Amino acid sequence: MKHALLEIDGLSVDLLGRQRGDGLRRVIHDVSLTVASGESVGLVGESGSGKSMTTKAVMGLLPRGARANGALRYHGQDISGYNRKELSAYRAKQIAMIYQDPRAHTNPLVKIGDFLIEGVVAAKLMSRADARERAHDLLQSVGITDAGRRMVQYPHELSGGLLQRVMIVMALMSSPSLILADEPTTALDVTVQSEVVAILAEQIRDRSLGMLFITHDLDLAAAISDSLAVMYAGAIVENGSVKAIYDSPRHPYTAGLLASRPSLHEVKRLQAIPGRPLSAFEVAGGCAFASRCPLASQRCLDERPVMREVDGREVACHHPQNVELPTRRPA
Amino acid sequence: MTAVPVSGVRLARISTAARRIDPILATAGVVCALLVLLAIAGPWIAPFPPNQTDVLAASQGPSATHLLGTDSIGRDILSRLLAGARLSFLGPGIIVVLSTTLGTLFGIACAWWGGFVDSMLTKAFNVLFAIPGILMALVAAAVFGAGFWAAVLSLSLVYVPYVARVIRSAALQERRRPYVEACQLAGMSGLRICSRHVFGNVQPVVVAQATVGFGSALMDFGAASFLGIGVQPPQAEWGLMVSDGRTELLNGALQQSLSAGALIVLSVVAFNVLGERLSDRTGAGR
Repeated sequence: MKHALLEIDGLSVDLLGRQRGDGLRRVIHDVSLTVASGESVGLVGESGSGKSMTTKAVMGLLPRGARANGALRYHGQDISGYNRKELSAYRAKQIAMIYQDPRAHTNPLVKIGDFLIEGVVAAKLMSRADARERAHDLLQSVGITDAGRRMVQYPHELSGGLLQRVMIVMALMSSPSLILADEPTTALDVTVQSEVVAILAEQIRDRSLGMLFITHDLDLAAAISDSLAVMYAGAIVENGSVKAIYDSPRHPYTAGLLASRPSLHEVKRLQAIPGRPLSAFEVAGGCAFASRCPLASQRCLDERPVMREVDGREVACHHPQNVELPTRRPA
Repeated sequence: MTAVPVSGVRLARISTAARRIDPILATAGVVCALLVLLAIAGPWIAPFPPNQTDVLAASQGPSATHLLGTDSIGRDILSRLLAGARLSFLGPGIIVVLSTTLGTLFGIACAWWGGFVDSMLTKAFNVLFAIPGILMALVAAAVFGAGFWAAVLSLSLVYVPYVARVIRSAALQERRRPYVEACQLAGMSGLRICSRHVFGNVQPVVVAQATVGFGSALMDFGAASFLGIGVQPPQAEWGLMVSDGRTELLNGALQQSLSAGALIVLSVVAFNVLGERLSDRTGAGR
């Protein structure tokens, strides 16, 4: 049987409370997601919906005291079964991460060149000279023309956009097969954002890498991904192809998100979803979205909906057919 | 003529750089450097051999031959101060190197592993905090015999928790910085992240802490010699010289105790000021 590149199967994560005796707080609830080779999956959700915690689980970097249930499989192999050495090799060679804030994720005392080659040299993937050459080539391929000069500079000498390109290069250094991009453009200004996204998309396509692209920007996710997964309160509420979700959302939360985007063509008040986002541990018996949902019925308050197939995508809602489609805008 | 604006720019740069230099830091730095230089060159520039006695010229006040006078058996005090500077600086130097190395290792280990390791080491430090340095030196002298190494090793041990506590908190801050996670994700080992990344970023704190530590080590080491559990006579050492001169104080010959004591005070103040200014500059005092 052919395995997907990354399979997240029924993942739940509980964190220990801050104080002793606080008990466990659920942050991720029964998340299932697959990323195939060469496929880009957009993971969309509000702050605190568990997107970043999902990537931490994928990297095996959950905070101390966290309990994870469910399976995380990479090429069909369960990551939780890795010992220290295998985990280190998996992180060094198979996955790479691009972070939201490149400046915070670089050691200010290490030059760009040394930063880029350190990981691969430490993992003994290539010699120092080869790594240096590869870094130089990759820097040029992401549009940094004076790569030689940049490599002897320190992170504070580079602009945010340049540094994020450096981070993309860092992610590509070890030729991983899966890239986790955690809001890679949020810290950049809009013009730089589109450049960085274009570069990232190009690199992913050229190398046919799998990517999990995390963002709270639905349009951005749609632009770069093949399929979308929408998260709410630690659980995935809708998961399917970009087209299906964009054209006809079947979960009221997705529909709400789509309706709340600003429009380029008409001037009107933005539509907001009433209420505030819940955290996963606040969810009682019923549907997490019930308190904010225009379609909520008694059943939604009593019974938590599970993911099921509706109109060519998976959705966790009791009333998927009643979801109002967002008004079409002229393209 | 083209050289004129260039040199003008250079001058302007130099003067802004000069204005940024903290005069107190600079003074303390110069004094410390001079003292260290004296300690290194001391025996060569001393006018007399430090242990040469001249009973006929005992307990003399300052004169043209003996600039700072002589002690009770006619040894030249200036020569002894210069020769003694070596031991007086070597002792604290070794103490600082040993305690800083161990303290940094333990501090980073605490911050990196946290949990059980952290709480055990922290408890061990708290026990050590309770023991005064001189008491530990007394015990070491009783067990191993009084001498240079007994004082140096016992004081090194006592100084470890002071260093470890400061480095631990600095390393904890570094540990939580996102780049550490990025390093982990690059598949680097904990040892590598600690030695290359975390240590590099706490280094200024280490240097500042070591400088302040040198001042207090100098005083404690001098005190150990003064009490007779450190450097032994007839070797020249400042703390020992203060002690030697006590018998003559009643005869009105202040020169030995006073000059050796003044040098200890000067060194301690200079190194403390230097260390504190350094830690202010590096933000280590946060």
